[in-house]
Amino acid sequence: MAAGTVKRIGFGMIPMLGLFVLLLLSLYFMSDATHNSERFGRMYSIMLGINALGLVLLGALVVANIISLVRQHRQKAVGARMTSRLVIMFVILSVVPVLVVYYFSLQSIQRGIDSWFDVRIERGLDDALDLSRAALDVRLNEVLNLALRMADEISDAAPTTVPLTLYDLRIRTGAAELSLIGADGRIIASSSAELSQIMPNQPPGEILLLLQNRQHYIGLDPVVEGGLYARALVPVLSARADGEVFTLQALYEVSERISTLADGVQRAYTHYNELAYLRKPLKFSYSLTLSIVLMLSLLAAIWAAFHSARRLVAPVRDLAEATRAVAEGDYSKRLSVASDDELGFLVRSFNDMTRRLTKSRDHANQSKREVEGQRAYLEAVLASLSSGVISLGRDSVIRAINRRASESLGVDLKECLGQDLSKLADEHAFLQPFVDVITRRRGDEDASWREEVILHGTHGRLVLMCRGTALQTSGRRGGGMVVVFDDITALIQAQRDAAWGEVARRLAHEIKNPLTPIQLSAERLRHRCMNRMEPEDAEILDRATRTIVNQVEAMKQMVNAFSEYARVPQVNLETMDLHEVVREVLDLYRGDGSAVHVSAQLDAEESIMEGDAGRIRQLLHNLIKNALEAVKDVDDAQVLVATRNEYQADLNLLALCVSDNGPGFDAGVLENVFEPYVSTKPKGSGLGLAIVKKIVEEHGGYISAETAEGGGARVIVRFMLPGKTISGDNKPA
Amino acid sequence: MCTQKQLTCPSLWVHARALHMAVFLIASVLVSPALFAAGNGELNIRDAHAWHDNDGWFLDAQYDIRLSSGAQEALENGVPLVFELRAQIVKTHKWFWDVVEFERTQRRQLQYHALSRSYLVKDIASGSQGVYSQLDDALFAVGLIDALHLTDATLDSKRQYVVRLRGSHDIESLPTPVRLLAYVSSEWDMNSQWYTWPLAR
Repeated sequence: MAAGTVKRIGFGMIPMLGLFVLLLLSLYFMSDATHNSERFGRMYSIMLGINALGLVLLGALVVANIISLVRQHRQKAVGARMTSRLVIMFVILSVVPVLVVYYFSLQSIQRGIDSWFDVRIERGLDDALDLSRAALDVRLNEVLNLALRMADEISDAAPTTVPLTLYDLRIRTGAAELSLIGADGRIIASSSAELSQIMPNQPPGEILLLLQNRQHYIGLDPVVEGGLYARALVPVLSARADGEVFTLQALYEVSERISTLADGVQRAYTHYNELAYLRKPLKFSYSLTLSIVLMLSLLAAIWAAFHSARRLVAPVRDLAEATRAVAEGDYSKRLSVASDDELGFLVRSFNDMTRRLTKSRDHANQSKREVEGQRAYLEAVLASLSSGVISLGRDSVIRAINRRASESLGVDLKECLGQDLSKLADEHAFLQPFVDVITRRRGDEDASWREEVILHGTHGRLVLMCRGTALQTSGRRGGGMVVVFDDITALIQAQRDAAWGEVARRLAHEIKNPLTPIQLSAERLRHRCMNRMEPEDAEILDRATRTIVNQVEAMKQMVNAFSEYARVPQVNLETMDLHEVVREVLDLYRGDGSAVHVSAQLDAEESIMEGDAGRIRQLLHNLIKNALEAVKDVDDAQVLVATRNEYQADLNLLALCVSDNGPGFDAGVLENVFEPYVSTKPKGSGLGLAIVKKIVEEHGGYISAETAEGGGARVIVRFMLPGKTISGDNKPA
Repeated sequence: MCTQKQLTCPSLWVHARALHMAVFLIASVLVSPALFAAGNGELNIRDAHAWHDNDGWFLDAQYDIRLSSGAQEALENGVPLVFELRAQIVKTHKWFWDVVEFERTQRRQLQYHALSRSYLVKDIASGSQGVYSQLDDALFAVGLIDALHLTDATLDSKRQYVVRLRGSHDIESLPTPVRLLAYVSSEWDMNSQWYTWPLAR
């Protein structure tokens, strides 16, 4: 900015100062010339022209400044209003005193010039001139008388002696020149005291005209080098016969003293008269000079006002623009310190501020980069975790989700980042239990918790082991929560399979193997002993051994059922039509003459699914058998097998419902109805529904049981229809 | 002051005119319009004749001067008036600008002598003086040009020449205070038109 200031001064002030000095000098010369000074008198017009040109230049400069300011106002440029105010203030401050001085100066000039003139002086000069004339008139009369006398003498002289007579008369009377002029104006003879003057002084034609009437002339002749001559012309009557009239011209020098005095009076009179005549133009010239000074001062003051205002406003404008730049995020703006005043202090402070802001921004950027790095590292760690992680903020907003969480839940949770936890359940309905558990646990006092959550999601039943830890901020709770969860569905299944496999193995080894010897032993005992016993004893033995054999047979069936349950599933999933399988199975139950009315209501429009038809048949058999057993004692017993398509959130489900009008499930059993050994029937093994559930899980579906409002049990199996999504148009209401 | 010089173009004259115009423009804004209202002066070239002999080319001419009332008032109050006659021999060109070959200026001063109640006419260059009791005679004497030597050079006989005359009142010789008024007032505008005739050889 220092360079800029120098530039501004260099290209703005110096030419202006030069112009101003030039105009002032010109004004001085012009003022001097007005005094009629010989020095500058001839330059007056040039000075006036220079001043006029200077005024025009200054005026143009001021007008250009005004136009520029008006344009800045229209463009609402920074600093325009401040410049205007300063200019107006400066102009008022400078113009008012200048105008006052101008007014009084003008008055002084007018009165001062008027005071030079006095009527008494004027009259005195007039009198002096008259006195001079009167004094000269005496001398003129003497000359005239002399001339008349000489004319008489010449008229008596012979023509040939006229030159000599003239010479003689001139010497005698002390004349400067004597000439004899003919009627036609020719000089006939002449005698002059000036030897160098060959040509005699020719009288003006008007005088000769006057003399044609034989009148005489007497007058004063001022001469170039100063001094006065008395010129007398008188007629000379010729003595010749033709009577030609000549004219004698006599020139007499007025005495030096009188001449000097008269010349002095003449000069003073002329000068005073000229001055009096010049009074009005002089006033005008002075007023003009003063007006030019005024205009020059005013325009220079206005220009100086513009210049000063601009210089004052420049740092403020720079500051304003720089502040705007800072507001827009450009911290690189630095202003040059132009002065050591308050503005300079302000500029320095601004520079300090921007420097610190830059440092802070750099620091913040570095911190941000570090945080980003840490965040990326954390995300990498989270992504590499085998557990799902969801981090919640204090306001239940999801802050972080790792990839495993999305994979575990089977939905893309990234979209839910930054949203409230409840949104998770809104968008994915099957996550409601998960959300409920977290919401409930957030209200607990425990800092850490652990809970198993079962979800029925897109890929079937999900068992999640959730572990939550409240985040602590500055040693206090309430800073949010981290929920880590693992999909333990497969683990549980494997544990259960292993457990029931062990049961089956035990049953095979510990129970099933002794059963055949027991049965055989009982039959042998009966065969050997019954014929030898008394009829009464034989009947008891027969009943006892039959009971043993029957019970052993029942135990064998039970062990086989367990074996079947524990069997490692070998499901062959193929495309099959559920309705076809249902119809096949129901046909078996319709024609057996049973009192139970078995009906089908196959409403599903999409019944093609991926499944193992054999296992589905077994599932249906088990469910229908259960239902038939449940309605065994019921009048008008009915069993209904129904299908339909269901749509839950983004799931497309095929639901199979087997219901009856029996007593329904007991409330205490309902929760564990699908567990082994849970049965409401007196003779049930408790494995029917457990196997059904196992088959359903093998197909990736899920099962539920409920008691209908009007009584009767209802078991609903839902299979996924993978790859099917629901468009808004065919989504059921 | 008499000058004899060769000019290729009337540049000085143009500059002087421009300066006069600038002064006029500024002053006309400032000066009261009443100044324009007075009776105007006049200067007309009545007759002119150029002739040559062995000494070169000479000019005889007569221009009439009628003083405006303002100029007469100034004269009678002791302000001397200077009249200037500018004579030029110009070489004419058909397809080109005319070139001033020779120029001669004659300046005469007219002044009132209060003591003798006469008018003095002085040739500024030669210093010769005439005294006239009547203003008309004095003005006649001012306007009478008798055998003004234009040039002693021989003119190209194959070229065409014209003589131009212009009589004017010299405002710059007026006292400074009057000068500005003289520039802007028509009272002081005593300038003749260019009087031109072909030079006969």
